[in-house]
This record gives sequence, C-alpha cells and structure tokens, in this order.
Amino acid sequence: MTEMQVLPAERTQRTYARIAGFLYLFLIVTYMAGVLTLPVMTGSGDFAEIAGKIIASEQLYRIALSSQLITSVGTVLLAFSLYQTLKPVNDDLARMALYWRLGDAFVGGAGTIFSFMSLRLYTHPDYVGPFSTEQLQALVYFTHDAHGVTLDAASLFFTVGSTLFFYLFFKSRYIPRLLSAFGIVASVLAFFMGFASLIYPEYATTIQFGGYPILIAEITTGFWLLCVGVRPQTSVA
Amino acid sequence: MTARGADFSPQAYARAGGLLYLYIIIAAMFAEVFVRSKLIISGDASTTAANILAHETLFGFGLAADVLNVSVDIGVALILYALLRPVDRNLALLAAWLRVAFDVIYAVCLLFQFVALRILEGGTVDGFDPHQTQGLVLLAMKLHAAGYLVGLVFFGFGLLVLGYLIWKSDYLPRFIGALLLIAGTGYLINSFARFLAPPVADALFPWSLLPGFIAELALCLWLLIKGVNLAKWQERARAA
Repeated sequence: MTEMQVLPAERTQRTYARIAGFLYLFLIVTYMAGVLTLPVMTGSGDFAEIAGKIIASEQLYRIALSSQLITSVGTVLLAFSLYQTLKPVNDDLARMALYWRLGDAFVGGAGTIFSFMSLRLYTHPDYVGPFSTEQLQALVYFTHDAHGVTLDAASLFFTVGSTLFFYLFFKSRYIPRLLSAFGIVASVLAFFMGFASLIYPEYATTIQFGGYPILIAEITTGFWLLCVGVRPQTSVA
Repeated sequence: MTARGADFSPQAYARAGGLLYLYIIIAAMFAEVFVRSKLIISGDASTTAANILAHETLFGFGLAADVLNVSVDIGVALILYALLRPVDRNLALLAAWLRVAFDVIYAVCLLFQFVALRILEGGTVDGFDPHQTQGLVLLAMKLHAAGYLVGLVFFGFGLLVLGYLIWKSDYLPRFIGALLLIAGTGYLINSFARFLAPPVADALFPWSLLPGFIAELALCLWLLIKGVNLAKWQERARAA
C-alpha cells in the first residue's frame, strides 16, 4: 500500500480538528456543571432560605459560576479551532461561522456578570444599601432575568454559527453526513428555541427541551473529531 | 490594507501601536486611579452618589476616556496581529480575538456607568426612596467592576498567547514575552481569585496586577522607541 504523504497544512488542520473535538466535550462539561449544580444548590424558597443555602455552599456555588465563565472563554478557542478545521472548505463561510460563535462567547461572557452580582446580593444583602427583603428579592430576580436574556441572546449567535459549521462539515464530509445533517437540524431547532424563549419566557421550561438535539449532536461530533479526526481530501499519495 | 501590502511598514505599525498603547495605559490609570477609586466607596452608597454628583464632569471624563480606550484597544489588537503574524498567523489571530473579546465585554460594562450617571441625573427612581436610589447607583458601579473582572479573563488568556508569540519571535525581545506571560497569569489569578475566594484576592491585590502594568508598559515603550528588528521581521515574513 502506498504511504500517504500528509501535507503540513493538513497536519495542522487535523490537529485543530482534534482540539475542536476535545473542546466540544470539555465545554459541555463546564456548561452543564453550572447549569445543573446551581439550581440543585439553591432549590426553592424565599430570599432568606436561598441565601442560607448559597452561603452554606458558597465555594461550590462560586466554582459553578466560574465554570460558566470558562465555557465562554473556551468558546473562543472552539470557534477558532473549528474555523481552522473548516476554512479549506469555504473560507468565507467558515469566517462568518467564527464571527457568530465569537458573538456567542462575548454575549455569554458578559452575561456571567449578572450571575456574580446575584451571588453578591445573596451573601452580602447590605452591599448596596438599605433595601427590604422584597426589594432584594426583586433585584435578584432582575439579575437572574438579565442573565437569562443574555443566555437566550447568546444562543441566537451560537445557533447561527453552529448551523454554518455543521453545513461546512456536511459539504466537506469530514464527519459522517448523517451526523452533520443532524447537527444542522439540531442547530436550527435550537435557534427557534432561543428565539421562542425571548418571546415566550413563561414557556421557557418546556422550550428548553429543544436544546437536547444540539447537545447530542455536539457530544457525538466531539467524540468523532477527537477519536476519529478528519481526513481532508488534499492528502497526496 | 493587508499586512503584506507594499505599503505595510512594520516599524510604522510598531510605533503607532506603542503610541496607542501609551494612551490606553494613561487613560486606564486616569479612569481607575483618579476617578473611580476616588469617587466610588465600596459599601457606602450615599457617599458614592454624593461624590459622583459633586464631580460629575470628572466622572464623565473618566467614562469618555474608557470608551475611547476600548476603541483604541481594538486598533492595538489589529496592530499586534499584523506585527506577530509572521511568527504564527493562527495564534496571532487568536490573541487578537481574545483581546477584542475583552474590549466588547468592557464596552458592555461601560453601559452600567452610563446607567449610574442617568439615575443620579434623574434624582430618584420611582418606587425607591433616595437612599435606595443611591444603592442602585452603587449596584450599577459594582456590575461594572464585576464585568471588568470577567473581561480580564479573556484579556489574560490573550496576553498568554501574545507573550508566547513575542517569545518565539526574533524581532521583539524575549524578556517582554516573558513579562507578558507573567502578566497574563497575574490577570487570571486576580479574576479567578475574586470569583472563587475574595479574601485571597484582597490579599493578593495589587501585586497580582503589578506584572500587568510592568509588562504592558514595557511593550508599549519598546514598540514606541525601538519598534521591531526590521531585518528579522522581514526575514520571518518572507518565510511565513
């Protein structure tokens, strides 16, 4: 069998593909660590009850918030890695996808500000002045809502970028076409989910199930890129 | 305009970058040391509100300096990308994007300063008494501070990549690359310590940020005075 000579550019592309695979999986872990642990720690109750729970697990709460920030920073690296992997397919589309995913990172990163501020209000309620418990509760709701809105806004950037990246995977056949087609459909579904959450926030709990397909698509793609990698067409015999 | 066009002069870019960086350092120090540190009293909403109202013009100048700072820093990001592209185009692009990420997040934070100013100019907020209105002002300023810390995480990672690129380049001194690596680490330690363990962050402040000031000032002055080693830059650019 003739040995394939792998061009240096192709080697770089394959390396970035594996990095993207790792980051897909790593960022899902960091994102879910925040999303899943925070509600479990706070549970339900009035302002004082929730504040007590948070103070009792403050360190863990802070780690969960920080993991959300790590997700935003990691998204910059993921977007960059995906761009490097897919730019040989169509540089303009890959660059556009990169910009959309960067928008996701920027907006998501900005949104974590509100999470840290709500933590401050719970742990130091006299922090900003003489507010009643009801007013503090209202301020906390404001920060939660603001964070929620930024997440929904970030998801619009994320889903457009994700749709473009999966389209490029589909065109390139770097990953199985079935997987990339699923990724396209899942990304579009997640786009409408994010949009619907902004317009109908009262149905957010139901609407969020629209995010599961993209989660499955990203986990599967992450494993594929990390374990199998990509085989660009430019390898020379 | 591309970095490889016939008109591209790395020395001109370096000197322009140094000049813009000098503005950023001066403006940032002015806004933080002479405006925010003097006017904003942590935990004291009444004094903070009174200070801002009594020095409204100064507060406005600080805000304007910060807004211009963000715009100028995007220019610095582009210049550094153009200068370091011959080392590794991909990493230079990554460093630029991480820096722009900080700029975007910080621009969002500046909105909170605007909000604080608008609340004070309006006098009161419906449903809140004057003390509580002052509390809302302090909350807005604290949101600004929290956002700055979030942005510095992106900036810190960007400095790590920038420091690595300068270390690997032949046309900028390695010691600046090393200083930037330390600076990036310092920014990350400062931000994550503030998120995870505020008492530790208090103990480390301001030493965790001092490397940042030294490294960025060193890079600024080197670019302004010495520029790049032109022969080595051109050699690297040809090979890239």
